[in-house]
Amino acid sequence: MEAGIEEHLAAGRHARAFDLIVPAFRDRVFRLAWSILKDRAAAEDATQETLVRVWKALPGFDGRAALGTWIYAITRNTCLMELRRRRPTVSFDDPDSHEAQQAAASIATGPAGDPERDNLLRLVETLPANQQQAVRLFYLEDRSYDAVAEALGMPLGTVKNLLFRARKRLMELARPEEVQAA
Amino acid sequence: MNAEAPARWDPCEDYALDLMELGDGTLPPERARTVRQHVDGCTRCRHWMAEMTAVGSALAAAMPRPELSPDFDARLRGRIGELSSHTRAERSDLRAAIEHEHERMVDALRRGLRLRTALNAAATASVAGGLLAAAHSIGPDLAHTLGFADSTLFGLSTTAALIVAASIAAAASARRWLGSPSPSVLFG
Repeated sequence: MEAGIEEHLAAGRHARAFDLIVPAFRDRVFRLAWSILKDRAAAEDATQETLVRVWKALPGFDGRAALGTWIYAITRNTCLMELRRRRPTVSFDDPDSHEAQQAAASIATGPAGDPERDNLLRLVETLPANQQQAVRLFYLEDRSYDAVAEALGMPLGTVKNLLFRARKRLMELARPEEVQAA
Repeated sequence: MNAEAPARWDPCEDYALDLMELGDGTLPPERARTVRQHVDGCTRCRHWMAEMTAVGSALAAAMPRPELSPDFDARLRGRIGELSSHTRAERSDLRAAIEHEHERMVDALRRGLRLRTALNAAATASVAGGLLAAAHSIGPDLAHTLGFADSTLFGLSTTAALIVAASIAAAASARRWLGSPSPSVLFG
């Protein structure tokens, strides 16, 4: 699919390239946006905005970076702008504040009345933002370290470390009180 | 809740990341064999790996799987179509502005050419007058020297030849100025 897109781009057929980009990247962009924004509607808006930006910028795409890398960078910037709009001092590296955790409560959109599930998702919300993003994407992207690394624009080793620290922390938090006190 | 778990729960440092990858099924086969051998003989790592696998399974089951709205593509097409028509309109406005400017420049050149032609004509008339006067004063002698019998006819012929030459030069100049390309040639 991406080879076909690049052929069209090389020939200056931007509209036809875009017609292939949308089905190829739409869902991946949405999952990345959701992992950052933690809200389905906001992630969908960010996906629309990202693809519109891609459409506008496509004639200037010079192919120096891989197409996916370029699109994911636009996605992350779009999401970062949305986060800044909500909270002017936000950064991807900041641990989530109480305010962000409250906002994130809206993600618990699964089956109601599952306290274990809700509790686990609440524990995820206490992780630093970059660990949360890595964990969400990892399980949305069929447990692919490579897919997470590409989407977040991070080296593979960094992603593995983020996932390791996140799950280690969740294990610690999920242990019964008497075990933790031992 | 404690910030740090008791050390007895931590795996052997050299195997920590490998245990995670073994649980996720991404460890290369050769390394996986080595790690499995270690896990078989290490209670701490075995315990830790079982716990991490359980957390991983719980996360996989708990994680929401949001999906795009069914009308996502239609809305995107609508936005792109709107932007495309704006872009087309902007291009059309730009083209009209360029053509208008081109016409204005051509008009200015034509006006300049008319002035230039009038000045050329005036200059030609002055030269012709001067030549007539000269022919009148020195014409008889020069005609005689050159072997012409009628000095007045010689002066008139010379002046007429000069006027024709000046007119041809003016016409060539006008053609060059009027021969500029049209806007459609420039902008398709």
